[in-house]
Amino acid sequence: MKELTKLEEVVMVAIWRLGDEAYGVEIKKKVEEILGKEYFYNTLYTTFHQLVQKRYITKHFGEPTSVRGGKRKVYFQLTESGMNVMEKAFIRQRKVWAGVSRESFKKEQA
Amino acid sequence: MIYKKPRPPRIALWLLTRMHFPDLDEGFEGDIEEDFEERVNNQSRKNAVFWLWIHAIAAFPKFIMQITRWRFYMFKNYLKIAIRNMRRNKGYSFINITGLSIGIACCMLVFFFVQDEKTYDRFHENIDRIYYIMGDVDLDRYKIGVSPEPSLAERMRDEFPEVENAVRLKREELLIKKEGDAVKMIGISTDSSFLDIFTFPLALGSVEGALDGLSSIILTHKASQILFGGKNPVGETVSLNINDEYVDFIVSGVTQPIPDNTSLRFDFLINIRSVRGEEIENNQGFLPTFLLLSDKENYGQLIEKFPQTIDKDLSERFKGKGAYRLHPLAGDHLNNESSSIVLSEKGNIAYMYILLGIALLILLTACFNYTNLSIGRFLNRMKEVGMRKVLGALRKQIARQFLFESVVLSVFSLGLAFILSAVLMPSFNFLIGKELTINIFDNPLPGIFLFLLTICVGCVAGAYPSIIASRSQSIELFRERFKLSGKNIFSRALIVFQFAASVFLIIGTMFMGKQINFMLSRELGYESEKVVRIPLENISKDIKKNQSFFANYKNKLTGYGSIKNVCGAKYSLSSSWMRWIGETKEGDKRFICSQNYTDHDYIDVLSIQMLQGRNFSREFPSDLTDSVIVNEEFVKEMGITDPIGKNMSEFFKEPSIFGNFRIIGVVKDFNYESLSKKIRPIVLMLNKDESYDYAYVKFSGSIQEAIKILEREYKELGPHIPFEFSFLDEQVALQYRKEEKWRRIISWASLFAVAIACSGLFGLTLLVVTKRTKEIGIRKVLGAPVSAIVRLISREFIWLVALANFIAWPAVYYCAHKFLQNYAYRIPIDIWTFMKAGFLALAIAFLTVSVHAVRAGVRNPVDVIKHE
Repeated sequence: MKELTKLEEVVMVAIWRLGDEAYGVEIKKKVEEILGKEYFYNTLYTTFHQLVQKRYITKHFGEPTSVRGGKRKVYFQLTESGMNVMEKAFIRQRKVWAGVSRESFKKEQA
Repeated sequence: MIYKKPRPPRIALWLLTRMHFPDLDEGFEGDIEEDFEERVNNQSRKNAVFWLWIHAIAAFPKFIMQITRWRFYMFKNYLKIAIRNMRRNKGYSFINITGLSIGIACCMLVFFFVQDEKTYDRFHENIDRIYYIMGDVDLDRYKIGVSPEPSLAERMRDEFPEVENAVRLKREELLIKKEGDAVKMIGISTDSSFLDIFTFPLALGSVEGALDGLSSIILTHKASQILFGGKNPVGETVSLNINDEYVDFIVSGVTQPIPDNTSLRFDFLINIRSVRGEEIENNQGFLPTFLLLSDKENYGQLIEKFPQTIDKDLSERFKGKGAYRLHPLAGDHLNNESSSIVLSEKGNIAYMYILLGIALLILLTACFNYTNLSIGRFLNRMKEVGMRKVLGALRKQIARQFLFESVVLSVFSLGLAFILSAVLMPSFNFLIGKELTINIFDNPLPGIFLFLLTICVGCVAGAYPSIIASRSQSIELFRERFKLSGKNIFSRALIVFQFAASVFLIIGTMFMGKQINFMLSRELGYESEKVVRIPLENISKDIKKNQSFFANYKNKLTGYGSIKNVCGAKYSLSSSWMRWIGETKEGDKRFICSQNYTDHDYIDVLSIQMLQGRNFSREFPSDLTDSVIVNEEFVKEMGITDPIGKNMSEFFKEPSIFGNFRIIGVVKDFNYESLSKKIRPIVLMLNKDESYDYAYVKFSGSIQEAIKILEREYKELGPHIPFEFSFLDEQVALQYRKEEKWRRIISWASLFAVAIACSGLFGLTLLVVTKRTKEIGIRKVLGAPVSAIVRLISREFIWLVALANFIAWPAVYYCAHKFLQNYAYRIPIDIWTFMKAGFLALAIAFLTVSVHAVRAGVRNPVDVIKHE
């Protein structure tokens, strides 16, 4: 199993958090909220595509509505292996930062 | 209230979605739209649109990467293979590249020519708004085109708000001198608005008031070089010969070098009042007038006003139906329907297209060479293509490879073509009588066009080989079972086309040459040998004694033994004479006759044969005032049975310039104009004051001596006036220089076409011979002589060339017929010329083919059968 890139990780977290409402616009907002900077749809969709290819997420169409120029929404969902990967990433993250607290940075600064 | 949904700009959205993954299209697009709507609502539409465009632009780099990355790798491979193949088959590559280079170079030269013709006068900033005005007058039976009267320019400017400015111009051919000898220069006398309307920037002097003074003159860069060398001439004095008197002018400016493609050609500009003051004062005569419209759109509005205003005056002036018309200066150079006397000689659009056609014919021939040879060469590359297919190359990719190869080759040829055309340019300039230069940097259009043309050539040439290569089955390729030779109709059709084109050009050249020779050798009706023509237009009066220059000159010359006779004439031979258009007495026939003033010795000097009556004679002084000599055609046209002594007034309905003159003699018809025109009725009269514009001198003995005498006497009578002369026989030949020029162009073109076609045939025969090596060997073992082998190989090609002949002949017949229609006296279209050209083509083809055939025939069969 390959490691996830930062953006992939964040996208997956965003999808997990959004649950049933995980589609492009919302995911973008979530990602931007988490990382605090703007993203292009181009970039995000490239990431979606890669995640779909790796089978970490699946997509399914919603009902067509009158908004969005009549286009259907595409919802994303985490798969079993996607959850596993996230879990691993989480654990790794924990290990990497173990024993580091915010105060330790302040000390360094001082 | 209807809520209008904000929609994103369509182009940006389209670009963005097209560049992205097709499988995520809907979600992606929908998201973009949703976000866009939100942005419009929360911020502003402008912001949202900007946001979307940024998205679209950001998608570009990735998109480009995706589409090019893999192709690039493949192209690198194609290029490598292409170069290897070119190296391996040096002969074919050489034939292909030279053929294509010649073809492209021909197109390049013609393109420069066409561009030069098309861009005539385009350097004027106001070119779209410049028009010249000409009147068409319908005088019942015939129409004339006239330039307007002098006052019209002012009237147009004052009365019509659509006209921003107007200018009158007249071409003046005057002698100009600084000190010492005078030179003849062509100038334009004009109004001071000239420089505002036309774009002729001054290099020296100021535009303000440069033409205002009656004694101001503006010189062109060229004229200033001739008169003053490199010095600054502003403020200096030059004298112009106006009505036989030298008048001083002060140079007020010098123009920058004038582009070659200008319809207005001049060496100097002067104020129109300094030469034509009287005409303008009395509002007489005709002055070509140019208008600058305030807006191009006003054109229609302006001409609608003509019928009620200026057209009425025109009709009154000529007592006929008159109408003014505006002709745009833009494109006038190639418009053969309009003309103004101030504008230089027109280009011929028909010739332009002929030239273009010939160049394309050569290029196409070269393309087909490539096609043919590539098909042949494909046989050697079957394994390569098979391997590519097995390794997964798509049909599309194989096709692309072959196309790419031919494009590479043609681009390579383009480079060579540039060099070739640079080398050929001086000769081409000589042929077409222009001064073109290859300048890609100032003028990128030809470069771009030629590059595109080259790509097209590559695609056309490579199309068929790539189709063949891509559609073949790999299994067949590996077993080399692929059959091309058997019935390759396409290849043969191309050969037929190539030779048809060659035969077409060869026969064209032959007919042109024959027609020219025919015109040169035709009985002119007068003797042109050892006759010198001296123009005297500039010195009608003797400068010192104010007498007829001609009479004095003639007197002096008759003292010399080597000068046999001298005569004068108002109009030169082989140019147009004065036309008299009239009606016969009964009014049943309108006819045109040409008239010339000559002196007593005209008929003797030119050895024109008298048929009836007598020549002008000094023994009858009354000849000066009441006698004419006519030609046979005149007698025939008038239907006179006994012409001698008839009064001219008997023939005409209205009083003519011939008044009550009587016919004293009839001469045999002679070709006074070009042979392309039919001989018309002519009338010769004596001139009372003996002022003639041309002197014809018949001499005996050496040419140099005669010329020396002529010049010496001339200089004595009129110093500072340049002595010009020409030999009558050369003058006659000069009339056909246009035909001669075209004959040369076409003969060069046919040479190229034949060379290319032959090289193609040469290559193709080699292939056939190589393929049939074994067969030939076996035939020889079984006892076939060399001649049988040669026959075997050449038979099929000879048939093709023969077929090409039959295809080309009707086309040539049609074109030759059209071409010869231009000449009143023309050669018949005979079958022999066709046969000759056909035989020539066959002979050339046979020679080409037999080189290989003989070589194959004499080879030792032992070597051959061992082959493989």
